[in-house]
Amino acid sequence: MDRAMAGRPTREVDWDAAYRDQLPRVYNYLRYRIGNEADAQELTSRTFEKAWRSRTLYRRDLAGFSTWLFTIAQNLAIDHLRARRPHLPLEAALEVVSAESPHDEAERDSNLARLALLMERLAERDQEVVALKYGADLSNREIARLTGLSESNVGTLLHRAVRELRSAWESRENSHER
Amino acid sequence: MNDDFLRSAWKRPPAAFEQQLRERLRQQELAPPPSRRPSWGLLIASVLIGGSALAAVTYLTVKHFSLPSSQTAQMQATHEGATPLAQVGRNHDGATYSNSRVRGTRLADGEHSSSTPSEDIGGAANVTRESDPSSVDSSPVGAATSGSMAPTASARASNTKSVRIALTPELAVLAAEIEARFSWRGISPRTEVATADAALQTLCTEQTTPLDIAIVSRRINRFELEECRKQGVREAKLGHMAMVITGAKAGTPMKLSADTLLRALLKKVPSPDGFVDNPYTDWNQIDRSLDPRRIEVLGPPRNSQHFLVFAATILEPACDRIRALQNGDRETYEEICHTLRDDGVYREVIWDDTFVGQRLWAEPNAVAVLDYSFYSANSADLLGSMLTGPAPTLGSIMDGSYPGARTLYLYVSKERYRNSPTVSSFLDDYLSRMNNAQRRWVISPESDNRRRRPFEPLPLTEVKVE
Repeated sequence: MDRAMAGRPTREVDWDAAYRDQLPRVYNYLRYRIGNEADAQELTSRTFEKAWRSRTLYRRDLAGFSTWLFTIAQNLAIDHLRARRPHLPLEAALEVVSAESPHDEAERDSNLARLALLMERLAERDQEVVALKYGADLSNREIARLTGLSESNVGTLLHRAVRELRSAWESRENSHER
Repeated sequence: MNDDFLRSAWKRPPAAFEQQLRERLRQQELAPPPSRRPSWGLLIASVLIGGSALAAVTYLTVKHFSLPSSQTAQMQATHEGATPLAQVGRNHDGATYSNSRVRGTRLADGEHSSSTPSEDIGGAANVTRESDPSSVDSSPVGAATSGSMAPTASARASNTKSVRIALTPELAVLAAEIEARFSWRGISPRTEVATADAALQTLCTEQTTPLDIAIVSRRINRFELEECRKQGVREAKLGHMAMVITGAKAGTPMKLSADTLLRALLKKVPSPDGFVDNPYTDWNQIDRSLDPRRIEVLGPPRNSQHFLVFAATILEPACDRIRALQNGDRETYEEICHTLRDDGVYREVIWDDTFVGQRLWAEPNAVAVLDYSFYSANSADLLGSMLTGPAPTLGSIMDGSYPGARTLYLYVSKERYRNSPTVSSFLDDYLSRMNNAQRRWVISPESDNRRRRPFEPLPLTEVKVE
């Protein structure tokens, strides 16, 4: 964002633009973070409702609107994950990856489920960074601001996490081809 | 980096969901939004800060036109070249900070030593803020510094008008205020930053260029006092500094000890196998009686003066209490105690007028580290103190029962106070009234009259042997 803020007076947010720009990013951040479509929708709604209810509290002089929105989403995700524990056993991944669908939509959902199970192998912090990068489509600098990590640290974590995920992803694909 | 597989899971929100949510928000729009409550504390603080800024600008303008141009240029050079008083060295092993626990530093005798070797874990050891630009340390952040305490020729020539003052790092912020307040009166305060040990030792040692005043955040101990017998020393209680551990009003109350907070923030913690990388992610892993809540601490930037106050009031006393941290040599202990984790658990924040209403509101589970004045201005919107023990009030800070506070002492050489009119007039003026710049940092509700008569003989019986 903050396209939603461009040309607006202080503290005023163009909610239509914000909604248009941020909804897919918040939604996908939560999908990557939670790994479940229904929960991601529910938490996206709660994020926007919470932000909307408190819109008069928001002041653009502190940080970008998206940072504020993602802070809300992050906290909702943390609370949700905390309540959901313990996780499914990792072995469940084997069953999910085999459920492929000919349709694109179904394939994406399958990819998400498969990714979610692989993500669970990562540390919490790495999961968060991956979700912010690929779900929310944030830059390393924005991720650093949200997580309190340094920008270079974000880069290192991402590189390591993606390498790990890719290797797990490819090894499953290879085993299926065989 | 081949990350297509990660991008393949991205998709637009379903149209029905998008529409439904938009409708829900629109319905809420019909209800009036919550109004922002005016914060009178903030308004008053803004007026005070604005007033101080205006006074400072007026004062600087007057000073600029009243000083000879050479002196003005010299002062500007000093300020431009000054090293930040709180410095941080960041490396792959974590973020270290430097503070009053600088090992082995000692203020140099002006005649005998032209350079003082400075040893410091985090970076800065002694920082000189003299009028001589050549002696100002301008080394980069994190680099070891060495500051010469030797007076310059001009300083020696005008020695009768100069007052040499040492301050501990967490009080270094007062240096600029002291310099600004007295320079135009013909007194040249020469402020130096040093450990309390070094400052008090120098104060009590005969030197060619004597140290006149030490402003420190601990009381003199009996051994130091005995050393001072020959010179004589007088004590004044300057005030207090305090930090508060709190959270958003919407958060769940929780009581943390300073020791728990330290264990949550250190880069390495003691374990049966020695020191290991901090494994704690939730508060209840450190203390089972606490909630299973993620450790998130929002505090002042590590390179800020407020961080040094946080370290001096809360972290360091906790370090001294935890025995397991002391299983090793002094160097290891210093390193462990001064290296905080850098994995995002401690997040640096700025306390501006949106911090409470916006940042903390969005992170109700975070623990916030605030200074007392910010806390008291916003206490209506905060959870209250999370630190175990009495709540932070002026009373509990003054009587020493609040665990997050430290008392500030001023020591002056009795001999110098008696024999140097400059030192005595400086002190009489400095202690007689506290200006706004000082009040920002020092909590001192004592009346001016009480502080005007601070030089009671220091009874040995009152001073604890450390």
